[in-house]
Amino acid sequence: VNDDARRLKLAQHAWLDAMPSEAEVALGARRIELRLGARPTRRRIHRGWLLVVLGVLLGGTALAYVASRAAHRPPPGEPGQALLPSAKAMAPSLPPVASSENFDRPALPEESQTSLPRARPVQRAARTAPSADTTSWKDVDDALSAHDSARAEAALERLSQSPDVAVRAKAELGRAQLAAARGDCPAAARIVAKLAETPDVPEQLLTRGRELVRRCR
Amino acid sequence: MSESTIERTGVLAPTTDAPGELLVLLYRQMRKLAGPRPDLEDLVQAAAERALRAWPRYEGRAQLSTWSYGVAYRTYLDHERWYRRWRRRFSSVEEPAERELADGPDGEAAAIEVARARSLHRALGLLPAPKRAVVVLHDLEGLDLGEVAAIVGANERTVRSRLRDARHRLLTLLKSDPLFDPEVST
Repeated sequence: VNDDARRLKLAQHAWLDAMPSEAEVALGARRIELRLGARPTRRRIHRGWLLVVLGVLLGGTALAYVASRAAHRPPPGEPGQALLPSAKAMAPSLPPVASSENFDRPALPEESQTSLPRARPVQRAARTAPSADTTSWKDVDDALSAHDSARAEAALERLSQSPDVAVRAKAELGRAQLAAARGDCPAAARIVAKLAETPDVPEQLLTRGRELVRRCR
Repeated sequence: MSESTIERTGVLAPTTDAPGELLVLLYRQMRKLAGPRPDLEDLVQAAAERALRAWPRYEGRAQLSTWSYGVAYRTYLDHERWYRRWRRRFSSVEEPAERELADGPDGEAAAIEVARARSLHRALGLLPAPKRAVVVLHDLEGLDLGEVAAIVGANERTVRSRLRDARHRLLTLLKSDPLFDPEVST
């Protein structure tokens, strides 16, 4: 038993002598730390996946939004739905009220501050200024409401010069309707016949025109 | 925080570099449990990953060193089980287990100490991992039985039984080694 105890004592001494130094332990721990840092942790992997999923969702939503906007955009030249030109495009045709000199003044006395809002009518005018097509359709509506067939005819004449086939066809059909309303059935029939010869006219409009001529008395 | 502070107090201030301190502790404890071996750093890394995952759940009920010893012990045990299965299927070359002990101070006495340490580690390497851990923690590291029981997750009677068996086997192995002959050594 004594020998065993002494052997164990020797083993304890040998054990303590073989312990690594502080520097060795610190170096080893540092190497492990670097290894752990270089390896992507689960949390990092999860975060990466989350970002990918979020990106896909956002991209899909944006695409769906753009697609729905494109699907609901009305065809150009539709009555009441005509596209307004941008303010920039309209600006040259407007009076230069909002010149830059109004804004370049270093000091703003009280009376000059009142001049600042002068720029607003320009912007409002630019924003609300309708295009020629819209004005014409509105003119047609206004003229018909006012029972002014001459003005309506003139507006329809202008619309029949439009580059858009559909707008032109609708304007011609409008003229035929005016003629039929006046009781001028031959004129209405001429207009419809001319319309039928025009290529790319929507069939629906032609049907309506023929129906109009058939019922004209 | 030095080894003595962290092992004495068992407290790791939350404001300090907790993972860094934990790594130092784990490295030292794994080195004691598994001994010098080529895959020591792999073992420490596995233990560190396990400890860092469990770190938020550490409530301070056990001393930090006991808790981290437990993590190191379980990692070591898992590795040994896996390694035993692996060795059963594939032939392995002899590992230079005491490679780290090769360098040491010059002189005959120092050479004897290094050789004795090698013999001790070789003998410990022949013990099964749970028994090796118990004898290392109690007889060589000086931890009391309650602490060893907490680390290995067994009750004290089991630990005492393992210790008795492990000590017996270790002393049997050392008896045949002249470096551990008490007459010669003294």
